[in-house]
Amino acid sequence: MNEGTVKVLLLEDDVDDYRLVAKRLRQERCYFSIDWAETLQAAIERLSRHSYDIVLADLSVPDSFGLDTVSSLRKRSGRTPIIILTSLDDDTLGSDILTAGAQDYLVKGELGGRAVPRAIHNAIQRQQSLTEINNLLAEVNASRELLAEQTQLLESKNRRLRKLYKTAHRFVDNVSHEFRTPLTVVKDYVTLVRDGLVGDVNDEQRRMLDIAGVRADELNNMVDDMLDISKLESGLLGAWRRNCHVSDIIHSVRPVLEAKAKVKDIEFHISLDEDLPQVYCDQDKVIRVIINLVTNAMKFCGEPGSVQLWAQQNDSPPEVVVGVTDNGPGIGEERLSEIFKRFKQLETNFKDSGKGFGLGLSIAKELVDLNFGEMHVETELERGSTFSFTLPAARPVEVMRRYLERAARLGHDSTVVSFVSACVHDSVCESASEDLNAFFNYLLRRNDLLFQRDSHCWLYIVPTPRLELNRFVARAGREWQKTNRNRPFGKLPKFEMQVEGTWAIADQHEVILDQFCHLFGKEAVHA
Amino acid sequence: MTNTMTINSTPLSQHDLFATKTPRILCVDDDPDFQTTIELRMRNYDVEIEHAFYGMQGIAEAMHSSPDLILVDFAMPNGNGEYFLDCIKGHDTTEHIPVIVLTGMRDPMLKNRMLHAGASVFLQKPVQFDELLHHISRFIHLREANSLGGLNYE
Repeated sequence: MNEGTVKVLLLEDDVDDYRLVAKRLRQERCYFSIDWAETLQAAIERLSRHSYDIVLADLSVPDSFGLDTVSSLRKRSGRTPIIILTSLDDDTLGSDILTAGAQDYLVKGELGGRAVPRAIHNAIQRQQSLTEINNLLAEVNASRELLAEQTQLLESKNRRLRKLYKTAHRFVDNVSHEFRTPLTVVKDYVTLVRDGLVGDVNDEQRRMLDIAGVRADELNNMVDDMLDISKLESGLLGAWRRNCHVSDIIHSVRPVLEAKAKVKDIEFHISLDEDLPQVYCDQDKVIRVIINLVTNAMKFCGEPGSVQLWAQQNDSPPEVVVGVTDNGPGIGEERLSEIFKRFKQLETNFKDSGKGFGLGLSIAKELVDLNFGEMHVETELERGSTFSFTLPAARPVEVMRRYLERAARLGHDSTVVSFVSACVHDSVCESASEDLNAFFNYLLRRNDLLFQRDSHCWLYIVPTPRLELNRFVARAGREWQKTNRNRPFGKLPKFEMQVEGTWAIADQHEVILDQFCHLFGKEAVHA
Repeated sequence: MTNTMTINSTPLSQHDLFATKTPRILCVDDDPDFQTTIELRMRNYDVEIEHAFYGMQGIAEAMHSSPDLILVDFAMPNGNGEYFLDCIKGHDTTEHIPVIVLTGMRDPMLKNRMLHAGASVFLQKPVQFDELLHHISRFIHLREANSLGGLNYE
């Protein structure tokens, strides 16, 4: 409302009434400018050309009568409030007038005092409030629509990200595969010739073919390094952790390492403690770490070179330590602290890894971390260095403890953890239990853990918020059906999945571990 | 590499009954050079090697000739290793044949998938021949060929 001037359109065919109203308004302190129209036609024409703060109207004018006057004005007046002047004091008529769209009505006999200006002010005020409410409502509606749109957008973006993630994964895998295919043939043919399968080979030729074979292994290892780095940097590197024997792992890398030592004329020994406990890890990652540490040691060992690969048991915490010791010149103070710093860093920046700190060690550190272990280095100048790493013993509570520690340390993508148990109700035979175990392993996603609680119960540890667990459980059901469709014999038994709980890792560390111990019963608590 | 999870291993004793018969291995791989290495390597043993160069061919061959053991690649045209396993393990005439997967892929989840799909062993290329031999001998009875040279391959 414009302070000072209130523009009034007055529709009134009776001159006396017009004068009366005009007089009342003139007596007010604020100024009212009055446009007078004697017919509805004239009033409508004015409304279309000027804007008014208020319309005062008689119900009966020469060209309109009764409520029609109100509705006709309402149609043309936009948001300008309307007050009706009527000679009848009738409540029914009054409410009809308001329903037809007027703000208020005044009885002509009661126009004395300040009734008219007060009614005008009130009507304008009410109209303003109404306009504000309507504006707010429109805003709420608009933002609700926007929100719905954004949700939709987010969902489609998520879908795209999931697809992109798959594509990226597949791309990296395919590229490494393309490299490896010819490499495999090169390595195999060199070995075939070297082993005399296609004709006699003299010592000199054999020596050279050994070198060619070892070099092919190096190239293969480099492809693995590249694959690991690109996956580590993009957060795509998954781990499949399960119970393994360190001796099996070392046994499988032995030939490659021994061939390398032989070609480089380095003395190479492997010594393993007897009765090493089982460890919980992704064994392919451990193999990569061992290869990288031994390669590093063979690069920096003394003359004549000697490298030892060893494994020992630790009781507290329950773990196995795997180490590689060389007889090199040792590492100077400065470089050592640099290496330590790298080992302590949360995330490795591979771009800086070239300088004085082998790429292999950077990768090793990340892979060790993925297996819930730690890297250590000990060195003595002129005597040699030892790089070692730990692997948790295959005890669920110990593994869980390290999982939580790692998740809390990394923070970003795994702030919650959920427990989902999968149980078979009927007793199942051993082979069905093994099949189920393979099936549950198959369901594992990146960063999930799986423990077998007993012969018929498994427990998934997943970094998934409660809202998304339905998706996890639904997928298990779908995969189960798919698997059984493809299996005419030995169908997988039915199992039931149950969400045991979801917790925030940061502040519920103890609660999570307690719950975990509880699920694993007494034995695990003492572990 | 050593990860040997036996799901569908056939007991050796069953094969001993047929010890007089030369065991047959079907090798399904799109790389003929790789096939040659297998053939050369197995030359010293009394085995027959059959070849298929893509998934569908391997499936047809397996159904037709019912080999004692199958070596299969993962990434192949016209039916990859997973499809191959689904067919072999989903068909009652071939369901019992042990399958060793040999692949240059390095996805840890792939190993899960293949073992779940019914592979007996999952090995990564390049494979140590001793290791491959060890796994082959778990499923078929390997005898050294006679001293006159390996004439037992085609």
